[in-house]
Amino acid sequence: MSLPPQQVKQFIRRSQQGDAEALARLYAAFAPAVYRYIAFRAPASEVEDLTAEVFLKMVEGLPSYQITEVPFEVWLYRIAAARITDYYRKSGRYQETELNEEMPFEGAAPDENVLDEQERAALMRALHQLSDEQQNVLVLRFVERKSHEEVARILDKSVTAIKSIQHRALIQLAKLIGAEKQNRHYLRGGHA
Amino acid sequence: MPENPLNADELADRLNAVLPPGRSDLPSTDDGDALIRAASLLAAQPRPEISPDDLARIQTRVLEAYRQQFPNHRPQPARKTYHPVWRWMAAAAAMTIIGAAALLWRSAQFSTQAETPTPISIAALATTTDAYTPEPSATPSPTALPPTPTDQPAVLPSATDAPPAMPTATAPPTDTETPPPSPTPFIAYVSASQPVNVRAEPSRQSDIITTVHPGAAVMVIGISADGDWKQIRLDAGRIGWVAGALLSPNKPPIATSTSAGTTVPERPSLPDAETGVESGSEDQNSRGGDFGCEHPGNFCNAPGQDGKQPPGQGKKDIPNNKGNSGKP
Repeated sequence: MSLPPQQVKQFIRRSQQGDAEALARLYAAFAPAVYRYIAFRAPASEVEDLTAEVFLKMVEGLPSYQITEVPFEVWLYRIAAARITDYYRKSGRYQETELNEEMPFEGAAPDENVLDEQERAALMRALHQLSDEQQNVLVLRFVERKSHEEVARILDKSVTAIKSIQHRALIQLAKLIGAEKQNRHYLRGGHA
Repeated sequence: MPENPLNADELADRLNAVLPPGRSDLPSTDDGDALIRAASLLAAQPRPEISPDDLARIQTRVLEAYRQQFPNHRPQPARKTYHPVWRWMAAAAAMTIIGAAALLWRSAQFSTQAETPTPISIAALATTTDAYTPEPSATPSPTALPPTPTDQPAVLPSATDAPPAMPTATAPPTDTETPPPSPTPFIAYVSASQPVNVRAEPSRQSDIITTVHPGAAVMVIGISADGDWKQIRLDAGRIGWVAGALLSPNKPPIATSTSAGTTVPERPSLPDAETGVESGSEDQNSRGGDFGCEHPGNFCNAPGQDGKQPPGQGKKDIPNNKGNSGKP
C-alpha cells in the first residue's frame, strides 16, 4: 500500500498526537517493504521479530520525529538497517568473508535467471557474505528498486559513494556466485 | 575473473538502464557483463511478502507499545461517511424532535402560568390604586349603592389612567367554544355609553345573566376563541361573557351615564381599609363578589341602589389606602 506524501505527513502528525488509527495506517503502509528488506538481510526466523523491533523503535522515536521533505520510509530503513547491524553484532553470526579476488564468476545466462532453490540459497549465502553496507546498497537497489539517489538518502551517503559501494559489492557478489557455482560443479563431478 | 571494463559510474548508468529503479517486473538482463548479471540475479529473486498473520501479529505488538506511550489517549472511532439521503433524514428527524420539544415547552409554559399567576396579578393590580383619583361627580347619583365593608373587595382593580398591561400569556384559543379563563386577569372598563349585557356564553344568542354599567371596571379572566368576547368574573364566583368591543383597558375619562340616565361618578375601586383583608391574598380571589360587576355595589362599581357614597371610598380616603395594607 502506497500513501501520498501529504497523507503520510498527516498520519505522522496524528500519530504524534496519540492517534492509534493513524499509527496503524502508517504501519500498514510501510510494514511490507520493511519486512521484505529485512527478509533479504536476516535469517527467516528473525524477520518477524526484527520487523517488529523496527516499528517499536518507530513508536519510541515518533514524538521527536521532525517532518521534513525526506520521505518517512528513509527513517524506517535506517532503523531497519541499524536493527540488523545490531542483531548480527549481538549474535556474532555476521562475518565478512575474505573473498578470493581471483575466483572466477560464471554468471547465469539471461534465460537462466530463474534459479532453483539450491541456486537461490547460494545467492543468498553470497549476499550475506558481503559487508553490511554493501548488502544495504544491493538490497535497496535491486530488491527494493530504489534509485541511487534514494539509496544515498537512506544510507546518508553521497550518490557517488553509493555508486562506488555498489560497484565493489557487485564485484564481490559475482565472485561469490562464481565460487558457489564452481563448488556445485565440483560436487557434481565436473572438471574445472 | 572476466573483464570488467565498467567503472562505478558506468556500471550505475548501465544498471539504471537495465534494471530501472521502481520497476518491480523482471527486467531484461541480456548483458554480457558479469556485474550486470549478478545484479539481475538479485533482482530476479522472489520478493518475500509479509503474511497477513505476521502483519497482524506485529501490529498488535506495535499498537500495544504505542498505547503505553499514549496512555491517556482514547482511540478515535473511525469516522463514518453516510449517504446524503441519510444525512438529510437525520437532519429532518432532529428538527422534528426540536420542534416537538419546543411545543411541549410552550405548552408547559401555559400550564405553569395557568396555575401560577404572573406578576400581573390581582395583588399587583391592587397596589396601583394609590394613584387613582376619582373624578368628582357633578351630581351624585341617588342610586349609588354603598357597598358594605364585606361587599367591598379587598383588592380592587387599578383605576389609574395607565391601562393595565395586557396578559402576556393569554390562553390560546382552543377547539372548544368556551376556553379556559385567562391565566392573567386584568382590569377593563365598560366603554359603552349604555349598560352592557353579560351573557352566559360568548354569543349573542346566549342568555343574559346581568348587565354592567358604563365605566364600570370589570375583571377580565378570559377571552373567547375568536377574540370577540371577554370572560369576566361576577360576584359569587359567577362567570359571564361581554362583547370585547364594549370593554376598554383605559378608564373612561368622564363620568358615564347609568342605564337610568343618571350620571354617576365612577367609584374608585380601592381597597376598603376597614375590611382588614390583605390585598392580593388568595382569599380575596375566592370571595364572592370580589370582581363581580353585578350591582349592587361590588367590583363593577355599578351605581348603588341607595345612591350613597360608600364609606371610605371618597377621595379623602385614598391616602389611607396607601399600601393596601388594610390597616388604617
